[in-house]
Amino acid sequence: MKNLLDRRRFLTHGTAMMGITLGSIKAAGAQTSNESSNDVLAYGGRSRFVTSQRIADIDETHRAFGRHEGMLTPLQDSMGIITPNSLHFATMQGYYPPDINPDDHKLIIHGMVDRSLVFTMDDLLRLPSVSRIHYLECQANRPEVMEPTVQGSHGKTSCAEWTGVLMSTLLQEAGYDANAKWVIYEGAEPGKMVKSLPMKKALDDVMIAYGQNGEPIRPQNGYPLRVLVPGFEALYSIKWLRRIKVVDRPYMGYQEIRQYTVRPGRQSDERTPFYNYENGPKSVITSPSGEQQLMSGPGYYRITGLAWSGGGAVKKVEVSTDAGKIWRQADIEGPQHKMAHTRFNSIWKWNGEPTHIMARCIDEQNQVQPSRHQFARYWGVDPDKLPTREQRGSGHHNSIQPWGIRENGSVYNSYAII
Amino acid sequence: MRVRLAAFTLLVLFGWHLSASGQGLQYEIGRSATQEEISDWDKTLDPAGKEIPEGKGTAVQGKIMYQESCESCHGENGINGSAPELTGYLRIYPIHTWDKIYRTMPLGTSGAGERDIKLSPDETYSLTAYILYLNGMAAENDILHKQNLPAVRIPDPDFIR
Repeated sequence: MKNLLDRRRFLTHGTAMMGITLGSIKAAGAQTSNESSNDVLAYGGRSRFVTSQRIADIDETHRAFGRHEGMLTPLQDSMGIITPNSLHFATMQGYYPPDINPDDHKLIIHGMVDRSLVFTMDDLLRLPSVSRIHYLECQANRPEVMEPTVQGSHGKTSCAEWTGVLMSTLLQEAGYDANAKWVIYEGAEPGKMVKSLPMKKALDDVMIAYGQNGEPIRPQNGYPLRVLVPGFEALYSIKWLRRIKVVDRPYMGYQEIRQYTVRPGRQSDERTPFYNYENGPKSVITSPSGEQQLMSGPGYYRITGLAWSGGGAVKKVEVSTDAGKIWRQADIEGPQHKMAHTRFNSIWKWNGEPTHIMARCIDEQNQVQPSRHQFARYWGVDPDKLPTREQRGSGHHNSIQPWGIRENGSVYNSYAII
Repeated sequence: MRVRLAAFTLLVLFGWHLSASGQGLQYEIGRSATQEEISDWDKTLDPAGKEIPEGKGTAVQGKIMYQESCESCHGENGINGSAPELTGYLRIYPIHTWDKIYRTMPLGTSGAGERDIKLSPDETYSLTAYILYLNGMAAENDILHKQNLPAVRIPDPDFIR
């Protein structure tokens, strides 16, 4: 099949943003044939012609400290629904991932329990396990007027098969108090992030995961142990997990109160902060997307993208190629797991005229992904100023991302226009 | 065969049992946590502040410690350092500032995230008092302690993002 889209432009852009060169990748290709075949045999690498990579997500708070918030997944190159571990997004709160020896790692469960317990990694491997495919999405993943590429705006979501123990298994092992309504849990990283979670969700489908796509979780994603809260904003899924405390109320930990709560207050007297839980229904066309190019002029192209929802499985995805006037149902490619990325495709015949393409997700609860204007109305903010500072504080942003197509076939972020 | 069945029955009767709270099968995996290892990590504070340890400190005492251990990253008077600024950074309850300092500061140099120095409650009260002082929320000789910390309010709630 002919390569329809030119990714070279994007890669150039991405490299400049990272401030590093692709030299290391090229150097690997220049090794002697013996060395490269050893590499391939021991731990498989990819073709030297495949260069897709993450880019740094710079946060002003941490820039001066020489640290970055995280790494963004190159969604524009994604295939199917599974994100390779090397390309999974990572958010690190400005801290470096801890270098944990699994033999020394322990998980304490305490608080309102019959027995306070300590689990080693070996202990956890003896308990019944589950493997489930779930997306993770940072609550700050959102369309951004100034982000030219899908990686920059939507790269804080990925999807993997996670393996581990259900949190309910550990809670039962410790024997939780009937009056316990919440759990709080803490990571081992320098920032010791804490999150509160309702007991109802903890007993439902929350995993204590040690496996990611068939291998141990990568350090940036929480090695050797993390929480995985399906469908909830990824901030619930604490990494480098070391402690679970069973309690009777939410704790409002430092990061929760500083960043991860909604305070609707500015215009009203309401000052009570509250949590967001599930991500709303969401989708994005990953290709063609910003900074890519329709190389072959008018003709057939494959529109492909990802849809997901914290509310369950994706029921259907609709695509518009005329700036939102007519919506057609897209084909679903592959499985539709609950709280997982779902791949959609739609074959489109471009007539060569400028237009806008976009997708919207409808989940199994019949929730429909909102347009920018619908979303702004919901939050009571000016649609031309999204994301605003007030709304930004709420995290949650699942409005539709349009991509503009110019007459010359170049693709750009048209969020501000549609 | 009979021996194996008997062994299985014994396993069912004694090896596994229903928990007292009726929450189903237990595997008896994991050892009991000691009080010491729990208290070493159990430093998160409940929102009402009941779990804050006893202790006290003032901004004057905190400033000395700050200059020794914090200023190299956070900058003189909490600004213009390489680490996040400490003015305008408070959110709703100073209790969270106390919690953040007590549980995570100063950042360790070891790769596993453990700190070289762990602060005492008195030291944490002093540093919290100094940060409140930098933010105009305490006088330099105000004594901060378990009873008055949860009552400190930030002056302008609209300042909160």
